[in-house]
Amino acid sequence: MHIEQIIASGLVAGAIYALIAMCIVILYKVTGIINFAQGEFVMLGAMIVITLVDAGMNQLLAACLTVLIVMIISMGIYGAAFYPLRNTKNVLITIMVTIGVGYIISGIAQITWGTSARLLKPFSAGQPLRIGSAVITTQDLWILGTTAAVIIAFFYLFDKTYFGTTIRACMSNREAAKLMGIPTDRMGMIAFVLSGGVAALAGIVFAPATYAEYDMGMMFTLKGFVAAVLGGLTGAPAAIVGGFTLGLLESFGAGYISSGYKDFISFLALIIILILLPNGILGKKTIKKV
Amino acid sequence: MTRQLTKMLAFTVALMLFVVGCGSSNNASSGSNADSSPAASASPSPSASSAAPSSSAPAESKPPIKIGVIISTTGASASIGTAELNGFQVMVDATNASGGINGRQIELVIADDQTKEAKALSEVKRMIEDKDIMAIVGGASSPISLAMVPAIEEAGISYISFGGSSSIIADKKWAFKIPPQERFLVRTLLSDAQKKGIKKIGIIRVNNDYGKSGADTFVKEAPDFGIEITAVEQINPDDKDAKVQISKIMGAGVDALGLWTSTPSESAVVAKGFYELGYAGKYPIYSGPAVSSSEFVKLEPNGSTGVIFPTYKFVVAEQLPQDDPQYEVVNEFLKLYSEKYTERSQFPANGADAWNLLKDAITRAGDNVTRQTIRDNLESASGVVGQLGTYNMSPTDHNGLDESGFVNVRIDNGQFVLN
Repeated sequence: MHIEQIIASGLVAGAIYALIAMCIVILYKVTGIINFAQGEFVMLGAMIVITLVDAGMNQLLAACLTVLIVMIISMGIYGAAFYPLRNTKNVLITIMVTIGVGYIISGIAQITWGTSARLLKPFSAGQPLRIGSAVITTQDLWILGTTAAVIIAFFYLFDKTYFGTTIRACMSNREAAKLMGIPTDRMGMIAFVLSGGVAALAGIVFAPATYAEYDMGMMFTLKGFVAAVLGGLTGAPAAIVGGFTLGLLESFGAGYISSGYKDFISFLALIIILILLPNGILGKKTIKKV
Repeated sequence: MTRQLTKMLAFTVALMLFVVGCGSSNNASSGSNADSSPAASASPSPSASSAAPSSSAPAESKPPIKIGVIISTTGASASIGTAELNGFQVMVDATNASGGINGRQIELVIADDQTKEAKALSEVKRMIEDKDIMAIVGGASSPISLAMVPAIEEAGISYISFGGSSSIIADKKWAFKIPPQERFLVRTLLSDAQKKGIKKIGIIRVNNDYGKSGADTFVKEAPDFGIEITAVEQINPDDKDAKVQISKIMGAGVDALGLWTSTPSESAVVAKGFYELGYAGKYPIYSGPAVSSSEFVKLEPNGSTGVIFPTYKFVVAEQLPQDDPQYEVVNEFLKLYSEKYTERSQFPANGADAWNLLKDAITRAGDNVTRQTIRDNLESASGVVGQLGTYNMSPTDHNGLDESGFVNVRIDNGQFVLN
């Protein structure tokens, strides 16, 4: 039947959700902040790369430059909005600041790039791949490939490098890490910049498959957040599982139940899964020592 | 410690609400220029409404007639809304240039609703409060128009909508609409399908009132043409991929795809999927009017070829036969509009006809221009020739059109070709 297409579309969407969820979870684990503006960095990645390509730059170069630019912007935003709040006991305030930052970014995007949808040419030409009833375009392959590359890079980073180990230390227990001499504030900034860069990459690789609009950030934030919670906010593997689960859930819901109720079905599934597994699919029971 | 925190929290929330609420408000202020020269019309940009004194217009002793315009110049419906505003503006400027109506100039108060229902509602309430505004025009999409209608019906001010849904005018006293009943557009499409021997159509519609209404109309009218609607799938306005829905429909075996979406980018998402799945060129797409703009072609240059949509004669004015009853009216407006704008779609015609109707209503009101007289005259409009056909309004029909004003157009490598 058309199950191959359902799985294919689900995996591609899931890959993007997984990337965004990874950004959200890593930042959360290192700093305790849930970045409700994460999707805006995805949007920035897409918009900036389109601007560069429209100006005549080679696509690959534009992509690298865009990730760099968005990382610099993230650094600026961290310094202006989050560094002053680094010692707040109640993270709720910082989370609300992220919401505000999100609005500011999409507002500036609207002024800079206008409101119409913008187009990016696929990275490589070529006929789509056909597996059964599924059509997988070359851009879909780029999306899956990039996601796989990012996942592998992260696992290598976390497992094999000293830097990755310090991040893992912060994620595991921030107080203890501080006591061991790890500069947790700087780690926070690095996590923020890194998640901005990965989000931008997601935007760049996804842009040719769809149309970039100034207000697309909100949807990505929401889906990424849902994916992160679904996986259980424990770390990168959880985010990846959550992302692909959400993508497939949406796709199956649209294909077999009803395309109109797609979002309803996804959120219903989220609620059911959270009731059965309150800490998400890979979550562990969190014990707060009093 | 917690009290300090609560105070900070409350302050931050209040600040954010303040910023969001007063934030991107682009609306024109009405009535603030009562002292400056009345002989002017507002500029088309959404953020300026200052009645700049026009150097060529004579100083009028009669006050201007103010008309409110609430339109999407930003947001998802921006391309449609801007085109409608420009069509309207061009006609108003022409009227003002030839002396206005009964010696009075027309002054527009323009507000941008940003394609958000909440913003449109706050704008319409603001305009209702301004007692100088005699009528309101706008609402580029059905959800926006439907959001404003209750306030308009309650306050009692005429409203000419650019939205397509029939619920905008059903059983209403003050709301009128320009776009024809969906029935006419759908029937125009279906008659072409019937001619091509098509028996089964599957539909993808956008998940809102406009989409639902269009799909329902298809289902209702198709049997008249011997066509069966096999399935109705939905996409959300911000969906980025429709391949699952397309596979589902085409896999079940149809002769054509039906499409009823409200913006060029939603339509492009489906057309793109259709093309990538290899159906474009082999099966036609019968679409609603959202594809009738160059933005759709720009977004999906490959998938847009072969899309057929019903539209106004304005879109293919030059291709009309000279003996077509609307040939002159349509080409005259084309001349006026193309002097200022290169964009071409059906939407400027909506704006033009809003003015044709309003001008007729105001003219017949003579010296007694009030919200009530405009409404009464709009409702009694008879034989008003416009871009979409001839309007004959009645208390039970606040649209006034029939099927004869519409044609099918096919997109062929970016060109709109009379089918």
